[in-house]
Amino acid sequence: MAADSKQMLFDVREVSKRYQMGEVFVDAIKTATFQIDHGDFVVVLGPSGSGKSTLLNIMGGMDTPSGGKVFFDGADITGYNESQLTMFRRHKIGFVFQFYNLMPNLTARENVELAAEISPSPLDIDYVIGKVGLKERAGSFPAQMSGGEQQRVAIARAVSKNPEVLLCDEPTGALDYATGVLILKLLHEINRETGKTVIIITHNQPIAKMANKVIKIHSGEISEIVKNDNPVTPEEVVW
Amino acid sequence: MLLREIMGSKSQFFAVAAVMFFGIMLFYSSYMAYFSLKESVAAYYERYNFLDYYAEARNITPEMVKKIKAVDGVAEAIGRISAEINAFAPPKKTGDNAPAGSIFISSDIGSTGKNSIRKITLRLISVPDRNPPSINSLLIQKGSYFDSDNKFLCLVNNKFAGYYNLEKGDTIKTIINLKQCDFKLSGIVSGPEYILALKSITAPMSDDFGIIYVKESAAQQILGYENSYNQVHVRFKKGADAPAAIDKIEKMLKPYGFSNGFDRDKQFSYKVISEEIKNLQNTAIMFPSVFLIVAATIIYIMLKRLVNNQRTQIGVMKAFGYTDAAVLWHYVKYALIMAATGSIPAIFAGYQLGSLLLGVYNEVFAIPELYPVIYWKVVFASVFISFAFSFIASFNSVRRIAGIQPAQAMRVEAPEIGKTIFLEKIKPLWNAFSFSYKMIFKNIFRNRQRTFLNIFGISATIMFFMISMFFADSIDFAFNSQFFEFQKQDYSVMFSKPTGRTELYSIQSISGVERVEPVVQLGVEIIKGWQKRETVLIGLQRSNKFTRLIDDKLAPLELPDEGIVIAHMLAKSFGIKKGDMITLKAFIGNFKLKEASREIVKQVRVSAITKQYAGINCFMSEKALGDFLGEGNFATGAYIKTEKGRGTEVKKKLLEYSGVDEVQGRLDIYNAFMDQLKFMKIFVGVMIIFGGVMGFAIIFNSTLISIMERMRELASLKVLGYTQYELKRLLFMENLIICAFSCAPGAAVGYLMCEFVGYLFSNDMFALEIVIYRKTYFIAFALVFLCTIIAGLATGRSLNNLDMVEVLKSRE
Repeated sequence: MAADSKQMLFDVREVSKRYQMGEVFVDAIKTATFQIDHGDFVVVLGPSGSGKSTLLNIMGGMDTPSGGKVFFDGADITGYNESQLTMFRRHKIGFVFQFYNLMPNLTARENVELAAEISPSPLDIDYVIGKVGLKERAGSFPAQMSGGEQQRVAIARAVSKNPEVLLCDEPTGALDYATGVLILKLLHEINRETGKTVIIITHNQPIAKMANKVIKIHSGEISEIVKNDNPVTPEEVVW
Repeated sequence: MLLREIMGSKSQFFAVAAVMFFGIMLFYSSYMAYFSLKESVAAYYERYNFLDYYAEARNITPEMVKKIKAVDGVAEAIGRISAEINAFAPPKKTGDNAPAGSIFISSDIGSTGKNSIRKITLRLISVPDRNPPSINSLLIQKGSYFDSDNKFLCLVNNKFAGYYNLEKGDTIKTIINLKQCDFKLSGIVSGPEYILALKSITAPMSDDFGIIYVKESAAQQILGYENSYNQVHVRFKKGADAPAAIDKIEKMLKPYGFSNGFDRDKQFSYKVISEEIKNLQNTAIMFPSVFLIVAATIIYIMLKRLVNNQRTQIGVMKAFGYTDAAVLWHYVKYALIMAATGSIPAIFAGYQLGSLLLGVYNEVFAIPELYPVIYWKVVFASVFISFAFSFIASFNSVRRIAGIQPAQAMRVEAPEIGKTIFLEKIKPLWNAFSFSYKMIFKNIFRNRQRTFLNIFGISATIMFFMISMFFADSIDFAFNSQFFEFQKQDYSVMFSKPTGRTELYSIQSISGVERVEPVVQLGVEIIKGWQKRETVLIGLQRSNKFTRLIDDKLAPLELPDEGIVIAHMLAKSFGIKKGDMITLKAFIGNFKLKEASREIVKQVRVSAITKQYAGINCFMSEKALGDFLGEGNFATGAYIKTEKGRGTEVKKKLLEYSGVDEVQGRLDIYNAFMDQLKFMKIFVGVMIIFGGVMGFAIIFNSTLISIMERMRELASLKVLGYTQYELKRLLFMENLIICAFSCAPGAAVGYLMCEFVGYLFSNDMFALEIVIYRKTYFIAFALVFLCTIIAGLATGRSLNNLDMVEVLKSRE
């Protein structure tokens, strides 16, 4: 047990989230309890509206739960104030979004630099850019790049901060299949080579096959947690 | 829907409305004051028969006046006597209570008792014994016109009466031709001739000068004019050929010792008030325009952003069949409501401010019936102008998008294409910047049009601050040069008549006097071609130490042995160059006594041009003056330097001399002028507040717009782990750099505008020297930086509420 808790990165305990929309209350998450270990490759799977993004936001320190607690490396982040949460995001978390959210007036390299700039232990920018295969495109602006390239910049941006964990919200959602697989491959490599925890949120079932842990969520509740001892490679993922 | 849009952007809405408010308030108040002043002055001149022309001559008989009246085109002519006399006034008292009771002459002049008294100057004017004069008539404000047969009744102008709380029945004790003469006050009056009663253009407003009207019979008797006058005043018939009539009158007066003729344009009070009216009109156009143009700029930026944001909505509306005009009108309406929100309260506030302004005019000028009036034309003009500016700005910013195809409008606008900025090409410089500065510069150059408009707006604010402060700088500079650099004497003494050198020796012997220099001051006329102008000729010893002259290149100027040195203003307006010949006409001896007056007209060479910041005088060395007059070794006054701390004592002793008419302390005059500048200081303060609101509104609005536009980016940065402080700093530094970029163009445009304003506000009596102190630039810069800081604090709040989840949830 002691050895287990040492390895544990996220400990999500009975987290709930209730929004007030006008006069009605919406329970985005009714209750969720699960753990994620260091170095895990996790897929949170659920249809749209199941509450998976809300969960990711809470885990990433972008939102606070209405109930329950989230421990990160043993620290209760639900008790953090605004600036502690900012520091948490800054030092521990790398986000990757469906729509990249790059700065349109900065080049690919500068977008990465933007994140490295505020990290106490950033990775070498050129190394990271080379890693995502954009060495030649480092001077391009987002509008001059394809969706896949933009997403690779976004991943490089998230990685360059040297965070503990990558939180990816539908990272392939806006991409075609072939490009999507490339992105998954990249995330998989990062997980394997650096040992960083990668958490992918998706509604796309086949992607779950490459995770060593799948957390299924439905209507705001965890319906199933599956341990997968034989994950497939990204190339084998088909949708 | 419109209301929702307004509420959705209420802080921006009100910031623009505030700029509009100040613009219209300034417009309304200055135009209201302009029309009130113009109309009440015109009515006053008309109703009280202000002169069209007046002439001075030694001895004008009533028959002559009758003949002048018969000249073709002349409607009315009257003769009168005018002379300057002395009276004694109680010492100035500090505190609220002005000395009550009569102006008195103390029997113990010469004693050192505590009842020390002051000599003041009164301008004596003769008026008919029974009825007010038919030209330059009088408005009785208190008491009555001469109501008894007592020969020694008098009237005084109301400003003067106010200084001493004079009332009917009080006695004015005067000294005329060295004889005491008492007048009983019958009434307090004002007249169109003395709307502004100043002794001369260079004299400050003070209680040392007043107008006293006495019966013609009394004036003739005391001043020795037996059945004659020294002035004739004329009113012409409507449409009369005035120049021809004037020519005729002056010819007729020649044998009677004609010395001078002026039409009303040259009349001092008329000239000053006309200039003031002109300046007011300039102000009414200039200052509000800055606000309105800036308001229009912000509206343009703001609506452009708003319609871009609502592209889809516009597409939907158009798809439903709304016309371009309907779409356009929707947004134009938004701008017009903004204009109405600013301008309607501004009219009320403008009325109050205008009333305040008229109150100031009432303090300075004696104009009856000068009170606030609602001018509907100004009300309509205010509304129209604010609407016009808003309409043009909004129409131009919305036009493009209103004409767009519905399908195209509903499509998401193409993503912004990043560009390398020119600074990046300067590699060493670019590499020297830290990453956050690189980002800041990239953002600045991102939307060039907006950055340009921001720089334009902030430069306009700097310009506005500079113009506001420039008036104070120029006047301060002029007075400081005049009273501290060009004049070094402690006191100027005027003798009651020209005296020889012996007088000076006796002054020199007064204990406490350090140095005495003789001075001759003569009223002269400079004539060059058809142009002529009255001025004061000052004769000085070449070795004088008290008066410093500089040439037009600001180098020290030694008084030449020959010829005349004239003020550059005069040289400029007459087109006189060094070495030119001018006609110089002097009236000497005509100080108090007509018997002694004598006219000299000679050609004189202009030996130098001197720069003067206050006053337009001419100078001659003692020798040159002696050559001109044919006699020398006399003085009309003296400049005196006293030993430290003994000034008051010396002044008192000087006043005891019977031959001394007046003693003026240099610092007293300076302080009197400075005292009058308090209105100026209030003006500067108020303008700075107005300008501050303008600067704030520009920066506040453009920052809010840029936050709204970059909501998604800012949220992304926040997700990356940028702190609230770092985000605010990014935006704040952007503004600060734009602000810094605005300093140079702002200062340059400001300087040019100050020059233009200086030109507008200068006339042949008064030139606004273009002086802008270095501190003024710094203050202007500091003020816009302050605006930036305040705007930064105000907009920072909107970042606090930045909801990352909400913003990033969906695609734009």
